[in-house]
Amino acid sequence: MGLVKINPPNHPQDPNDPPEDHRARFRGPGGLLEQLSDPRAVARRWAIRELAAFPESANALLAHLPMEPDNSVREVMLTTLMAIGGETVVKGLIAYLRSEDVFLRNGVVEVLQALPNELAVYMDWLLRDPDPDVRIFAVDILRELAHPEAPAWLEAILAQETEINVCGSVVDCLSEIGAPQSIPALQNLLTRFPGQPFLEFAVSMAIERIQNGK
Amino acid sequence: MKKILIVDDMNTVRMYHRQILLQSGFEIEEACNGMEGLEKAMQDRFDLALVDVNMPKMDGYRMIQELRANEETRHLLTIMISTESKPLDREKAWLAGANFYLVKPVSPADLTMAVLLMTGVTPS
Amino acid sequence: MAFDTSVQTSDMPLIRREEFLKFRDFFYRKTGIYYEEHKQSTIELRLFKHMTEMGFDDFRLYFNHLRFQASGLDLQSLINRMTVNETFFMREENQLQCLVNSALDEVMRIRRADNLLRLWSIPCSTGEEPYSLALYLLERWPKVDHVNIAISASDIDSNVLEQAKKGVYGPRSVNNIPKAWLQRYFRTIGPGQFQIAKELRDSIDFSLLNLSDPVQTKHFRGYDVIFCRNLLIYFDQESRRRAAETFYDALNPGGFLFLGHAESMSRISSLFKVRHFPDAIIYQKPGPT
Repeated sequence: MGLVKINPPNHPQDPNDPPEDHRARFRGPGGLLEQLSDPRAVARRWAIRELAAFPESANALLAHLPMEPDNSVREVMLTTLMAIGGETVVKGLIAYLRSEDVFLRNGVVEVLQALPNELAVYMDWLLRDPDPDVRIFAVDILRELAHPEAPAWLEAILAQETEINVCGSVVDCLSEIGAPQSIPALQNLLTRFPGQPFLEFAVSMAIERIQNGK
Repeated sequence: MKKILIVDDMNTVRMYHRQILLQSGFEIEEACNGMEGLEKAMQDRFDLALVDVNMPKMDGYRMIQELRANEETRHLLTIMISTESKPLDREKAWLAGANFYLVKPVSPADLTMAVLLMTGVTPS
Repeated sequence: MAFDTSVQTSDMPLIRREEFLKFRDFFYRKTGIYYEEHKQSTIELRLFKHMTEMGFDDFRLYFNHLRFQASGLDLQSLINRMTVNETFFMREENQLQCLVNSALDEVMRIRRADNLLRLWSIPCSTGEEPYSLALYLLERWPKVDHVNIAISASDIDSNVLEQAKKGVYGPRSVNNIPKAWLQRYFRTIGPGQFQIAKELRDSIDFSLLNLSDPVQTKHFRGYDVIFCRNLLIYFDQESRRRAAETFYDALNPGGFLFLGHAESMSRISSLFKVRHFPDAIIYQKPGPT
């Protein structure tokens, strides 16, 4: 008893482990994708982790995402999609921004936030989405976008956005990335939404951050 | 002094709620997602938590479920604060175990009233 | 343009308050590390020093650079700078206490058929952490003689691994070891040079490992406890998530993960259950029910 030394791999035999020889033989993308329907979550996670090396598997992963019942597997899928990146992934994930599934929606937002440059071409469209939650997500993504037009886009939204909570997100974003030229748009927002204490607070904070930070 | 935990991923919202509640003499701490909120709630005694719905890593519903599942945080009063006002969303909040529900943006009067009432503080 | 810090007095802030607040909120969002306003003067000194070394003399330009640099390398370099990282024995001792007072007992309650407890220290650096685990188990865990305990220790740096295997330490490193333990388990081999006993050096399984390489990490399975302190803070978002997922599959159901005291899963992954024990908050792989 007490301290002993063992060398991995020497782990206890777990019936849920994918058998070694199976994993060795079918480690190409085809074999890995087959494992998406393996009944064992651990086998699915391992396969999905390795699929990060095969960008061509993105479409299959995207299709499988809403069907996967286990959140631990979905987490691994999201990380793999983040690693693969690119336009296919971004386009596919945007569709899930409208999902009723809170876990999926928030997970997708996180991945998209890590791929801001691929998103740039969709920003216009996302910022006009009929769903205010999608518009809020779009505003959040703008925060991470290294785009010189971002403040201008936000200012434009303030002039016409009808949902007060979307405006709140925009003001919050401008308090971080806004410039002095954002101030008139911020002030005008208050004339569009008079008597709104939250917006008054948000706008004054944003203006203070912008003015005194320069 | 009564202590409130404000859990929201938006900095402006946290500051707005903080400013309102400081005026009623509450002590405030903040967290920017449900998991951070849960960790703070476990380590410190709070009288009430304001919990946003849409947050990364752990959303508001799950945070409240976890609070209820933990012996030491089970009795923490919670107000779910959401952008949604549909009856279905309120029901979801009750099912998760929230004690009250407010729709964003919350007015200073509504927030103050709800928090004072729930924490048993007499308004001055 | 070099910045002459000698003309700075304590009355002149190096960075305007609102700039600091913007930076503070950004850094908090990215790392979970939150700087109170009253810390501004200490933080801004470090920030400013690092910034000038990187070739910036204007904080606003530097901050924009940090925010939008595609590789994120400079943000990482800033994080490295802002988080002090020294290794020594009994570091964050409350976690070692949590291990022997709470975590291991719970692991024992979910016992499997075999009688083997497995711990993993990664990164192990020069060995202080795995050896601290060993010492604490031997000296502070009542059940240490009831089971076999195997400690694995990994690092990406072969030099520190070699040092770990040699097990020779200076006064600063051993400063927090109780005198009795120092006498029992270490030998003085030179002035200010303490070598840990051969039995302990031989009992730890050291390995060279790159945590981000799935081919290497897939062999690490069946662990009951993993200590990964003050590593993930240096990773980018994708690598942190991957590491958390790797640890998830490296752990047995019900196994525990210890992060550094200033680190939190709340910025990394929702896979783990948060557990609050009297001595520490740690993370647990769910199951078995």
